[in-house]
Amino acid sequence: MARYSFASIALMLAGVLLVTARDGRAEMAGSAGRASNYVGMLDLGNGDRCDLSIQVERVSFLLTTVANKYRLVRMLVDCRKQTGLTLSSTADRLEIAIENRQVPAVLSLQRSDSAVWDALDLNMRQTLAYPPAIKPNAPVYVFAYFPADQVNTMPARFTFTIASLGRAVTLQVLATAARA
Amino acid sequence: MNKLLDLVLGYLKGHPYWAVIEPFVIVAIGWGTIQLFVYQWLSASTSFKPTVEVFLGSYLSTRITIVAVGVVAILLVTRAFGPRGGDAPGPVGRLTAYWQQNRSWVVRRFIAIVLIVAAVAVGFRVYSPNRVSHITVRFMSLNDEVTPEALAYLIYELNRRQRNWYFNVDFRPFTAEMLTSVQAERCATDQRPQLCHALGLSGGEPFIGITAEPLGGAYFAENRDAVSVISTADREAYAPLSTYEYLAYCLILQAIVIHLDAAGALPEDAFTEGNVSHGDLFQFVPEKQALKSAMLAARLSPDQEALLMNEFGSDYVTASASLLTMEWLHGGKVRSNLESVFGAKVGR
Repeated sequence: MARYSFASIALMLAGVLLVTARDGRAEMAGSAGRASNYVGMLDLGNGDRCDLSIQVERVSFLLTTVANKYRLVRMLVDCRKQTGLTLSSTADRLEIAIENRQVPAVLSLQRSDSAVWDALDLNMRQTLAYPPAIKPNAPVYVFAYFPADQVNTMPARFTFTIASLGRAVTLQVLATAARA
Repeated sequence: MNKLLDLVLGYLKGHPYWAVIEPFVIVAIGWGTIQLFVYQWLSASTSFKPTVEVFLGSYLSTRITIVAVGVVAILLVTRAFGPRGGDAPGPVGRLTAYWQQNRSWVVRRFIAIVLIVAAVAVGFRVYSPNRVSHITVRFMSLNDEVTPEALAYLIYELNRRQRNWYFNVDFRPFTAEMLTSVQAERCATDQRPQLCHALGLSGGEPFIGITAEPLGGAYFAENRDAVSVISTADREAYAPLSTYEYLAYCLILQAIVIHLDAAGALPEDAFTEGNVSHGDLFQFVPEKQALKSAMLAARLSPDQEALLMNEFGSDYVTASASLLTMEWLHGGKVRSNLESVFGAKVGR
Protein backbone atom coordinates (compact mmCIF):
# COMPACT_ATOMS: atom_id res chain seq x y z
CA MET A 1 0.00 0.00 0.00
CA ALA A 2 1.43 3.31 -0.96
CA ARG A 3 2.30 5.71 1.78
CA TYR A 4 1.60 9.40 1.46
CA SER A 5 3.57 12.14 3.17
CA PHE A 6 1.82 14.82 5.21
CA ALA A 7 2.79 17.41 2.60
CA SER A 8 1.17 15.51 -0.28
CA ILE A 9 -2.04 14.94 1.71
CA ALA A 10 -2.18 18.64 2.59
CA LEU A 11 -1.67 19.54 -1.05
CA MET A 12 -4.50 17.26 -2.17
CA LEU A 13 -6.78 18.66 0.52
CA ALA A 14 -6.01 22.22 -0.57
CA GLY A 15 -6.77 21.23 -4.18
CA VAL A 16 -10.13 19.76 -3.19
CA LEU A 17 -10.97 22.92 -1.25
CA LEU A 18 -10.03 25.12 -4.19
CA VAL A 19 -12.16 23.09 -6.62
CA THR A 20 -15.22 23.19 -4.35
CA ALA A 21 -14.74 26.91 -3.74
CA ARG A 22 -14.98 27.79 -7.46
CA ASP A 23 -18.69 28.55 -7.36
CA GLY A 24 -18.18 31.01 -4.53
CA ARG A 25 -20.66 29.38 -2.21
CA ALA A 26 -18.47 27.02 -0.26
CA GLU A 27 -16.47 29.56 1.70
CA MET A 28 -16.82 29.26 5.45
CA ALA A 29 -16.74 32.96 6.10
CA GLY A 30 -16.63 36.33 4.36
CA SER A 31 -20.32 36.79 3.62
CA ALA A 32 -20.82 39.67 6.06
CA GLY A 33 -20.98 42.35 3.38
CA ARG A 34 -22.65 40.26 0.73
CA ALA A 35 -26.17 40.88 -0.46
CA SER A 36 -28.80 38.35 0.52
CA ASN A 37 -30.48 36.78 -2.46
CA TYR A 38 -34.20 36.13 -2.03
CA VAL A 39 -35.45 33.82 -4.75
CA GLY A 40 -38.75 32.29 -5.72
CA MET A 41 -40.16 30.37 -8.64
CA LEU A 42 -43.54 30.52 -10.26
CA ASP A 43 -44.51 27.33 -12.06
CA LEU A 44 -46.76 28.20 -15.00
CA GLY A 45 -47.29 24.61 -16.08
CA ASN A 46 -46.12 22.73 -19.16
CA GLY A 47 -42.53 23.35 -18.15
CA ASP A 48 -42.96 27.14 -18.22
CA ARG A 49 -41.73 29.07 -15.23
CA CYS A 50 -40.85 32.52 -14.02
CA ASP A 51 -37.86 33.02 -11.72
CA LEU A 52 -38.05 35.91 -9.29
CA SER A 53 -35.17 37.27 -7.27
CA ILE A 54 -34.45 40.21 -4.98
CA GLN A 55 -30.98 41.11 -3.77
CA VAL A 56 -30.82 42.99 -0.49
CA GLU A 57 -27.51 44.33 0.76
CA ARG A 58 -27.98 45.03 4.46
CA VAL A 59 -26.01 48.27 4.78
CA SER A 60 -27.36 50.07 1.73
CA PHE A 61 -30.88 48.73 2.36
CA LEU A 62 -31.02 50.02 5.94
CA LEU A 63 -29.09 53.26 5.40
CA THR A 64 -30.60 54.59 2.19
CA THR A 65 -34.12 55.74 1.45
CA VAL A 66 -36.07 57.39 -1.35
CA ALA A 67 -37.06 60.91 -0.27
CA ASN A 68 -36.50 59.84 3.36
CA LYS A 69 -39.71 57.84 3.14
CA TYR A 70 -39.21 54.60 1.26
CA ARG A 71 -36.81 51.70 1.12
CA LEU A 72 -36.32 50.66 -2.48
CA VAL A 73 -36.37 47.03 -3.52
CA ARG A 74 -35.60 45.76 -7.00
CA MET A 75 -37.07 42.43 -8.08
CA LEU A 76 -35.87 40.63 -11.22
CA VAL A 77 -38.61 38.71 -13.00
CA ASP A 78 -37.42 36.31 -15.68
CA CYS A 79 -40.03 34.25 -17.49
CA ARG A 80 -38.84 31.47 -19.77
CA LYS A 81 -40.19 29.73 -22.82
CA GLN A 82 -43.64 30.80 -23.99
CA THR A 83 -45.59 32.38 -21.19
CA GLY A 84 -45.21 35.85 -19.80
CA LEU A 85 -47.05 37.60 -17.00
CA THR A 86 -49.66 40.31 -16.96
CA LEU A 87 -49.09 42.69 -14.09
CA SER A 88 -51.12 45.43 -12.46
CA SER A 89 -49.85 47.98 -10.00
CA THR A 90 -53.33 48.31 -8.55
CA ALA A 91 -54.11 44.63 -8.08
CA ASP A 92 -50.70 43.00 -7.49
CA ARG A 93 -49.05 43.01 -4.06
CA LEU A 94 -45.50 42.70 -2.82
CA GLU A 95 -45.13 42.22 0.92
CA ILE A 96 -42.11 42.00 3.13
CA ALA A 97 -42.08 39.80 6.24
CA ILE A 98 -40.30 41.40 9.18
CA GLU A 99 -40.48 40.19 12.75
CA ASN A 100 -43.78 38.43 12.19
CA ARG A 101 -45.25 41.48 10.47
CA GLN A 102 -46.26 41.81 6.83
CA VAL A 103 -45.52 45.22 5.34
CA PRO A 104 -47.00 45.90 1.88
CA ALA A 105 -45.02 47.76 -0.74
CA VAL A 106 -46.15 50.74 -2.74
CA LEU A 107 -46.06 49.66 -6.39
CA SER A 108 -47.19 52.96 -7.91
CA LEU A 109 -45.71 56.12 -6.48
CA GLN A 110 -47.61 58.02 -9.18
CA ARG A 111 -50.86 57.27 -7.33
CA SER A 112 -49.61 56.88 -3.77
CA ASP A 113 -47.13 59.73 -3.46
CA SER A 114 -47.36 62.00 -6.49
CA ALA A 115 -45.11 64.66 -4.97
CA VAL A 116 -42.17 62.23 -4.80
CA TRP A 117 -42.99 60.70 -8.19
CA ASP A 118 -43.44 63.97 -10.04
CA ALA A 119 -40.09 65.23 -8.74
CA LEU A 120 -38.29 62.44 -10.64
CA ASP A 121 -37.12 63.12 -14.17
CA LEU A 122 -38.67 61.41 -17.18
CA ASN A 123 -35.89 58.87 -17.61
CA MET A 124 -36.02 57.83 -13.96
CA ARG A 125 -39.81 57.54 -14.04
CA GLN A 126 -39.58 55.32 -17.11
CA THR A 127 -37.09 53.08 -15.32
CA LEU A 128 -39.03 52.86 -12.06
CA ALA A 129 -42.59 52.53 -13.38
CA TYR A 130 -44.35 49.25 -12.61
CA PRO A 131 -44.38 47.25 -15.87
CA PRO A 132 -47.72 46.25 -17.41
CA ALA A 133 -46.42 42.85 -18.48
CA ILE A 134 -43.41 40.57 -18.47
CA LYS A 135 -42.67 39.07 -21.85
CA PRO A 136 -41.08 35.63 -22.12
CA ASN A 137 -37.28 35.62 -22.34
CA ALA A 138 -37.11 39.34 -21.57
CA PRO A 139 -36.08 39.74 -17.91
CA VAL A 140 -37.50 42.89 -16.30
CA TYR A 141 -36.76 44.66 -13.04
CA VAL A 142 -39.76 45.58 -10.94
CA PHE A 143 -39.25 48.33 -8.37
CA ALA A 144 -41.18 48.53 -5.11
CA TYR A 145 -41.13 51.01 -2.23
CA PHE A 146 -41.52 50.01 1.43
CA PRO A 147 -42.30 52.59 4.12
CA ALA A 148 -38.95 53.27 5.76
CA ASP A 149 -40.46 53.78 9.21
CA GLN A 150 -41.91 50.25 9.15
CA VAL A 151 -38.94 48.48 7.63
CA ASN A 152 -35.85 48.90 9.79
CA THR A 153 -34.31 45.46 9.74
CA MET A 154 -33.49 42.80 7.20
CA PRO A 155 -36.53 41.04 5.72
CA ALA A 156 -37.23 37.40 6.48
CA ARG A 157 -38.91 36.88 3.11
CA PHE A 158 -41.00 38.56 0.41
CA THR A 159 -44.38 37.51 -0.91
CA PHE A 160 -45.39 38.57 -4.41
CA THR A 161 -49.05 38.18 -5.36
CA ILE A 162 -49.95 38.34 -9.04
CA ALA A 163 -53.61 39.19 -9.45
CA SER A 164 -53.89 38.01 -13.07
CA LEU A 165 -52.87 34.50 -11.97
CA GLY A 166 -54.55 34.61 -8.58
CA ARG A 167 -51.37 33.20 -7.09
CA ALA A 168 -48.62 34.22 -4.70
CA VAL A 169 -44.96 33.30 -4.69
CA THR A 170 -42.63 33.50 -1.70
CA LEU A 171 -39.07 34.70 -2.13
CA GLN A 172 -36.65 33.42 0.49
CA VAL A 173 -32.91 33.52 0.97
CA LEU A 174 -31.31 30.64 -0.88
CA ALA A 175 -29.60 27.99 1.26
CA THR A 176 -29.52 30.11 4.38
CA ALA A 177 -28.53 27.18 6.51
CA ALA A 178 -25.49 26.43 4.39
CA ARG A 179 -24.01 29.80 5.12
CA ALA A 180 -21.75 30.33 8.01
CA MET B 1 -25.23 79.22 -77.18
CA ASN B 2 -21.54 80.04 -77.48
CA LYS B 3 -22.08 81.62 -80.90
CA LEU B 4 -24.86 83.79 -79.54
CA LEU B 5 -22.61 84.86 -76.68
CA ASP B 6 -19.74 85.66 -79.09
CA LEU B 7 -22.15 87.71 -81.21
CA VAL B 8 -23.39 89.74 -78.27
CA LEU B 9 -19.89 90.29 -76.90
CA GLY B 10 -18.63 91.30 -80.34
CA TYR B 11 -21.42 93.84 -80.60
CA LEU B 12 -20.71 95.26 -77.15
CA LYS B 13 -16.96 95.43 -77.72
CA GLY B 14 -17.56 97.75 -80.66
CA HIS B 15 -19.03 100.43 -78.41
CA PRO B 16 -17.10 103.01 -76.39
CA TYR B 17 -18.81 102.06 -73.09
CA TRP B 18 -17.44 98.50 -73.30
CA ALA B 19 -14.54 99.36 -71.00
CA VAL B 20 -17.03 100.48 -68.35
CA ILE B 21 -19.37 97.50 -68.51
CA GLU B 22 -16.79 94.79 -69.21
CA PRO B 23 -16.29 93.72 -65.55
CA PHE B 24 -20.05 93.51 -65.01
CA VAL B 25 -20.53 91.46 -68.14
CA ILE B 26 -17.83 89.07 -66.94
CA VAL B 27 -19.59 88.75 -63.57
CA ALA B 28 -22.93 88.10 -65.30
CA ILE B 29 -21.42 85.42 -67.53
CA GLY B 30 -19.72 83.89 -64.46
CA TRP B 31 -23.04 83.93 -62.57
CA GLY B 32 -24.84 82.12 -65.40
CA THR B 33 -22.05 79.60 -65.89
CA ILE B 34 -21.90 78.71 -62.20
CA GLN B 35 -25.70 78.40 -62.01
CA LEU B 36 -25.62 76.02 -64.95
CA PHE B 37 -22.70 74.07 -63.51
CA VAL B 38 -24.35 73.66 -60.08
CA TYR B 39 -27.67 72.68 -61.66
CA GLN B 40 -25.93 70.02 -63.74
CA TRP B 41 -23.93 68.83 -60.73
CA LEU B 42 -27.06 68.55 -58.59
CA SER B 43 -28.90 66.59 -61.27
CA ALA B 44 -25.94 64.30 -61.88
CA SER B 45 -24.85 63.66 -58.29
CA THR B 46 -28.23 62.71 -56.80
CA SER B 47 -31.41 61.01 -57.95
CA PHE B 48 -33.21 64.30 -57.29
CA LYS B 49 -33.81 66.10 -60.61
CA PRO B 50 -35.14 69.56 -59.79
CA THR B 51 -36.97 71.55 -62.42
CA VAL B 52 -35.28 74.79 -63.50
CA GLU B 53 -37.90 76.75 -61.54
CA VAL B 54 -37.26 74.74 -58.38
CA PHE B 55 -33.52 75.17 -58.78
CA LEU B 56 -33.71 78.91 -59.43
CA GLY B 57 -35.79 79.30 -56.27
CA SER B 58 -33.41 77.18 -54.22
CA TYR B 59 -30.86 78.27 -51.66
CA LEU B 60 -28.06 77.11 -53.99
CA SER B 61 -29.09 79.46 -56.79
CA THR B 62 -29.77 82.26 -54.32
CA ARG B 63 -26.30 81.88 -52.82
CA ILE B 64 -24.68 82.12 -56.25
CA THR B 65 -26.69 85.29 -56.90
CA ILE B 66 -25.66 86.73 -53.54
CA VAL B 67 -21.97 86.21 -54.36
CA ALA B 68 -22.43 87.74 -57.81
CA VAL B 69 -24.20 90.77 -56.34
CA GLY B 70 -21.40 91.07 -53.78
CA VAL B 71 -18.75 91.06 -56.52
CA VAL B 72 -20.69 93.68 -58.48
CA ALA B 73 -21.02 95.79 -55.32
CA ILE B 74 -17.28 95.61 -54.72
CA LEU B 75 -16.62 96.69 -58.30
CA LEU B 76 -18.99 99.64 -57.94
CA VAL B 77 -17.66 100.68 -54.55
CA THR B 78 -14.03 100.59 -55.59
CA ARG B 79 -14.88 102.79 -58.58
CA ALA B 80 -16.95 105.25 -56.56
CA PHE B 81 -14.20 105.62 -53.98
CA GLY B 82 -11.40 105.47 -56.53
CA PRO B 83 -8.40 107.85 -56.27
CA ARG B 84 -8.58 111.15 -58.06
CA GLY B 85 -6.30 111.70 -61.05
CA GLY B 86 -3.80 113.76 -59.06
CA ASP B 87 -3.62 111.15 -56.31
CA ALA B 88 -2.38 108.31 -58.45
CA PRO B 89 -0.64 105.68 -56.38
CA GLY B 90 3.09 105.62 -56.38
CA PRO B 91 5.21 102.74 -57.66
CA VAL B 92 4.84 99.44 -55.96
CA GLY B 93 7.41 98.97 -53.20
CA ARG B 94 7.22 102.49 -51.90
CA LEU B 95 4.54 101.60 -49.43
CA THR B 96 4.95 104.54 -47.09
CA ALA B 97 4.61 107.09 -49.83
CA TYR B 98 1.67 105.20 -51.32
CA TRP B 99 -0.07 105.02 -47.93
CA GLN B 100 0.42 108.74 -47.27
CA GLN B 101 -0.93 109.69 -50.67
CA ASN B 102 -3.99 107.35 -50.67
CA ARG B 103 -4.74 106.75 -47.01
CA SER B 104 -8.31 107.98 -47.21
CA TRP B 105 -9.02 106.03 -50.41
CA VAL B 106 -7.56 102.76 -49.06
CA VAL B 107 -9.44 103.03 -45.75
CA ARG B 108 -12.78 103.76 -47.41
CA ARG B 109 -12.34 100.94 -49.88
CA PHE B 110 -11.31 98.55 -47.14
CA ILE B 111 -14.37 99.43 -45.00
CA ALA B 112 -16.70 99.09 -47.97
CA ILE B 113 -15.28 95.69 -48.91
CA VAL B 114 -15.57 94.46 -45.31
CA LEU B 115 -19.23 95.56 -45.21
CA ILE B 116 -20.01 93.83 -48.50
CA VAL B 117 -18.29 90.62 -47.43
CA ALA B 118 -20.24 90.73 -44.15
CA ALA B 119 -23.49 91.23 -46.07
CA VAL B 120 -22.66 88.27 -48.32
CA ALA B 121 -21.91 86.15 -45.23
CA VAL B 122 -25.25 87.13 -43.69
CA GLY B 123 -26.97 86.26 -46.97
CA PHE B 124 -25.28 82.84 -46.94
CA ARG B 125 -26.41 82.30 -43.37
CA VAL B 126 -30.00 83.29 -44.10
CA TYR B 127 -30.15 81.02 -47.14
CA SER B 128 -28.61 77.99 -45.44
CA PRO B 129 -30.53 74.73 -45.04
CA ASN B 130 -31.57 73.94 -41.46
CA ARG B 131 -30.08 71.03 -39.59
CA VAL B 132 -32.65 68.35 -38.89
CA SER B 133 -33.00 66.59 -35.57
CA HIS B 134 -33.01 62.91 -34.77
CA ILE B 135 -36.39 61.51 -33.79
CA THR B 136 -37.15 58.96 -31.08
CA VAL B 137 -39.63 56.25 -32.01
CA ARG B 138 -41.46 54.51 -29.19
CA PHE B 139 -43.58 51.38 -29.53
CA MET B 140 -46.34 52.39 -27.14
CA SER B 141 -48.40 49.34 -28.10
CA LEU B 142 -48.27 47.16 -31.21
CA ASN B 143 -50.97 45.12 -32.90
CA ASP B 144 -50.48 41.39 -33.34
CA GLU B 145 -49.33 41.79 -36.95
CA VAL B 146 -46.17 43.61 -35.89
CA THR B 147 -43.24 42.61 -33.70
CA PRO B 148 -40.87 45.13 -32.12
CA GLU B 149 -37.77 43.52 -33.61
CA ALA B 150 -39.16 43.50 -37.17
CA LEU B 151 -40.34 47.08 -36.85
CA ALA B 152 -36.94 48.08 -35.45
CA TYR B 153 -35.29 46.45 -38.48
CA LEU B 154 -37.59 48.41 -40.80
CA ILE B 155 -36.64 51.64 -39.02
CA TYR B 156 -32.92 50.83 -39.17
CA GLU B 157 -33.31 50.32 -42.91
CA LEU B 158 -34.92 53.77 -43.12
CA ASN B 159 -31.91 55.14 -41.24
CA ARG B 160 -29.51 53.42 -43.62
CA ARG B 161 -30.95 55.35 -46.54
CA GLN B 162 -30.26 58.80 -45.20
CA ARG B 163 -27.17 60.50 -43.90
CA ASN B 164 -28.16 63.62 -42.04
CA TRP B 165 -30.45 62.30 -39.31
CA TYR B 166 -31.92 59.08 -37.97
CA PHE B 167 -34.68 57.49 -35.90
CA ASN B 168 -33.77 56.28 -32.41
CA VAL B 169 -35.84 53.31 -31.29
CA ASP B 170 -36.80 53.20 -27.62
CA PHE B 171 -37.79 49.63 -26.82
CA ARG B 172 -39.10 50.23 -23.31
CA PRO B 173 -42.74 49.13 -23.03
CA PHE B 174 -45.03 52.03 -22.36
CA THR B 175 -47.30 52.35 -19.37
CA ALA B 176 -49.17 55.41 -18.20
CA GLU B 177 -47.40 54.88 -14.85
CA MET B 178 -44.37 56.56 -16.44
CA LEU B 179 -46.13 59.91 -16.63
CA THR B 180 -46.29 62.38 -13.80
CA SER B 181 -49.51 62.33 -11.81
CA VAL B 182 -50.57 65.59 -13.45
CA GLN B 183 -49.96 64.24 -16.95
CA ALA B 184 -51.72 60.96 -16.16
CA GLU B 185 -54.74 62.82 -14.83
CA ARG B 186 -54.88 65.10 -17.86
CA CYS B 187 -54.48 62.23 -20.35
CA ALA B 188 -57.22 60.21 -18.66
CA THR B 189 -59.75 62.84 -19.66
CA ASP B 190 -58.09 64.07 -22.87
CA GLN B 191 -60.00 63.56 -26.11
CA ARG B 192 -56.69 62.62 -27.71
CA PRO B 193 -55.21 60.34 -25.04
CA GLN B 194 -52.50 58.76 -27.22
CA LEU B 195 -51.13 62.12 -28.33
CA CYS B 196 -51.28 63.23 -24.71
CA HIS B 197 -49.24 60.18 -23.65
CA ALA B 198 -46.75 60.79 -26.46
CA LEU B 199 -46.32 64.42 -25.42
CA GLY B 200 -45.67 63.25 -21.85
CA LEU B 201 -43.10 60.70 -22.98
CA SER B 202 -41.31 62.99 -25.40
CA GLY B 203 -39.72 65.25 -22.81
CA GLY B 204 -40.01 68.06 -25.36
CA GLU B 205 -37.78 66.26 -27.89
CA PRO B 206 -38.80 65.09 -31.38
CA PHE B 207 -40.83 61.94 -30.83
CA ILE B 208 -43.09 59.54 -32.72
CA GLY B 209 -45.22 57.09 -30.77
CA ILE B 210 -46.71 54.01 -32.42
CA THR B 211 -49.87 52.65 -30.86
CA ALA B 212 -52.50 50.05 -31.61
CA GLU B 213 -55.09 52.12 -29.76
CA PRO B 214 -57.48 54.54 -31.51
CA LEU B 215 -56.31 58.13 -31.44
CA GLY B 216 -59.60 59.75 -30.54
CA GLY B 217 -59.23 62.81 -32.73
CA ALA B 218 -57.87 61.30 -35.95
CA TYR B 219 -57.78 58.01 -37.82
CA PHE B 220 -54.15 57.40 -38.64
CA ALA B 221 -51.76 59.92 -37.18
CA GLU B 222 -51.72 63.27 -35.50
CA ASN B 223 -49.04 65.77 -34.70
CA ARG B 224 -48.46 68.56 -32.25
CA ASP B 225 -45.17 70.48 -32.41
CA ALA B 226 -42.31 67.96 -32.32
CA VAL B 227 -44.50 65.03 -31.35
CA SER B 228 -46.53 62.69 -33.53
CA VAL B 229 -48.45 59.55 -32.80
CA ILE B 230 -49.36 56.88 -35.36
CA SER B 231 -52.20 54.45 -34.77
CA THR B 232 -52.68 51.04 -36.36
CA ALA B 233 -56.21 50.74 -34.96
CA ASP B 234 -57.83 51.30 -38.39
CA ARG B 235 -56.12 48.35 -39.98
CA GLU B 236 -59.12 47.63 -42.21
CA ALA B 237 -58.75 51.06 -43.81
CA TYR B 238 -55.25 50.41 -45.14
CA ALA B 239 -55.63 46.65 -45.78
CA PRO B 240 -54.58 44.79 -47.86
CA LEU B 241 -51.41 46.86 -47.42
CA SER B 242 -49.45 45.47 -44.51
CA THR B 243 -48.99 47.28 -41.23
CA TYR B 244 -45.24 47.48 -41.98
CA GLU B 245 -45.88 49.37 -45.23
CA TYR B 246 -48.37 51.60 -43.48
CA LEU B 247 -46.01 52.35 -40.60
CA ALA B 248 -43.07 52.99 -42.93
CA TYR B 249 -45.14 55.52 -44.89
CA CYS B 250 -46.48 57.21 -41.76
CA LEU B 251 -43.02 57.38 -40.16
CA ILE B 252 -41.51 59.07 -43.22
CA LEU B 253 -44.42 61.51 -43.47
CA GLN B 254 -44.46 62.35 -39.76
CA ALA B 255 -40.68 62.82 -39.72
CA ILE B 256 -41.00 65.37 -42.53
CA VAL B 257 -43.84 67.09 -40.66
CA ILE B 258 -41.82 67.25 -37.43
CA HIS B 259 -38.76 68.64 -39.22
CA LEU B 260 -40.80 71.26 -41.09
CA ASP B 261 -42.63 72.23 -37.92
CA ALA B 262 -39.32 72.68 -36.08
CA ALA B 263 -38.12 74.97 -38.89
CA GLY B 264 -41.41 76.90 -38.78
CA ALA B 265 -41.97 75.93 -42.41
CA LEU B 266 -44.92 73.53 -42.25
CA PRO B 267 -47.46 74.91 -44.75
CA GLU B 268 -50.35 76.56 -42.95
CA ASP B 269 -52.89 74.55 -44.90
CA ALA B 270 -51.23 71.21 -44.13
CA PHE B 271 -53.84 68.55 -43.29
CA THR B 272 -56.65 71.09 -43.33
CA GLU B 273 -59.96 69.28 -43.60
CA GLY B 274 -61.46 69.27 -47.07
CA ASN B 275 -63.57 67.18 -49.41
CA VAL B 276 -61.21 67.06 -52.37
CA SER B 277 -57.71 65.71 -52.63
CA HIS B 278 -55.10 65.21 -55.33
CA GLY B 279 -52.93 62.89 -53.27
CA ASP B 280 -50.60 65.56 -51.95
CA LEU B 281 -48.35 64.50 -49.09
CA PHE B 282 -49.70 67.12 -46.68
CA GLN B 283 -53.33 66.84 -47.70
CA PHE B 284 -56.14 65.70 -45.48
CA VAL B 285 -57.51 62.33 -46.63
CA PRO B 286 -61.25 62.99 -46.98
CA GLU B 287 -62.18 59.31 -47.13
CA LYS B 288 -60.18 57.09 -44.83
CA GLN B 289 -60.15 54.21 -47.31
CA ALA B 290 -58.30 56.58 -49.66
CA LEU B 291 -55.20 56.51 -47.49
CA LYS B 292 -54.16 53.47 -49.51
CA SER B 293 -54.35 55.57 -52.65
CA ALA B 294 -52.18 58.28 -51.15
CA MET B 295 -49.65 55.72 -49.91
CA LEU B 296 -49.35 53.88 -53.21
CA ALA B 297 -48.92 57.10 -55.21
CA ALA B 298 -46.84 58.95 -52.61
CA ARG B 299 -44.65 61.64 -54.09
CA LEU B 300 -43.22 65.08 -53.48
CA SER B 301 -44.81 67.80 -55.57
CA PRO B 302 -42.48 70.43 -57.13
CA ASP B 303 -43.56 72.89 -54.43
CA GLN B 304 -42.73 70.38 -51.70
CA GLU B 305 -39.40 69.61 -53.36
CA ALA B 306 -38.60 73.31 -53.35
CA LEU B 307 -39.72 73.67 -49.75
CA LEU B 308 -37.69 70.71 -48.48
CA MET B 309 -34.66 71.64 -50.54
CA ASN B 310 -34.58 75.17 -49.21
CA GLU B 311 -35.21 74.10 -45.63
CA PHE B 312 -33.04 71.01 -45.37
CA GLY B 313 -30.87 70.72 -48.48
CA SER B 314 -30.81 68.51 -51.54
CA ASP B 315 -29.78 65.33 -49.68
CA TYR B 316 -32.96 65.52 -47.62
CA VAL B 317 -35.16 65.88 -50.72
CA THR B 318 -33.40 63.01 -52.43
CA ALA B 319 -33.79 60.72 -49.39
CA SER B 320 -37.42 61.68 -48.78
CA ALA B 321 -38.46 61.25 -52.41
CA SER B 322 -36.73 57.88 -52.56
CA LEU B 323 -38.18 56.62 -49.28
CA LEU B 324 -41.72 57.65 -50.19
CA THR B 325 -41.73 55.44 -53.26
CA MET B 326 -41.42 52.39 -50.95
CA GLU B 327 -39.37 50.65 -53.62
CA TRP B 328 -36.67 50.11 -51.01
CA LEU B 329 -39.20 48.10 -48.96
CA HIS B 330 -40.78 46.03 -51.70
CA GLY B 331 -37.76 45.02 -53.65
CA GLY B 332 -34.77 42.96 -52.72
CA LYS B 333 -33.19 42.45 -49.36
CA VAL B 334 -35.50 44.34 -47.00
CA ARG B 335 -38.66 42.48 -47.87
CA SER B 336 -36.78 39.21 -48.00
CA ASN B 337 -35.29 39.81 -44.54
CA LEU B 338 -38.61 40.86 -43.06
CA GLU B 339 -40.31 37.74 -44.36
CA SER B 340 -37.60 35.16 -43.83
CA VAL B 341 -35.96 36.39 -40.63
CA PHE B 342 -38.87 38.00 -38.81
CA GLY B 343 -41.80 36.10 -40.32
CA ALA B 344 -43.40 39.42 -41.26
CA LYS B 345 -45.81 39.67 -44.15
CA VAL B 346 -45.07 42.65 -46.37
CA GLY B 347 -46.37 41.65 -49.78
CA ARG B 348 -49.97 41.40 -50.94
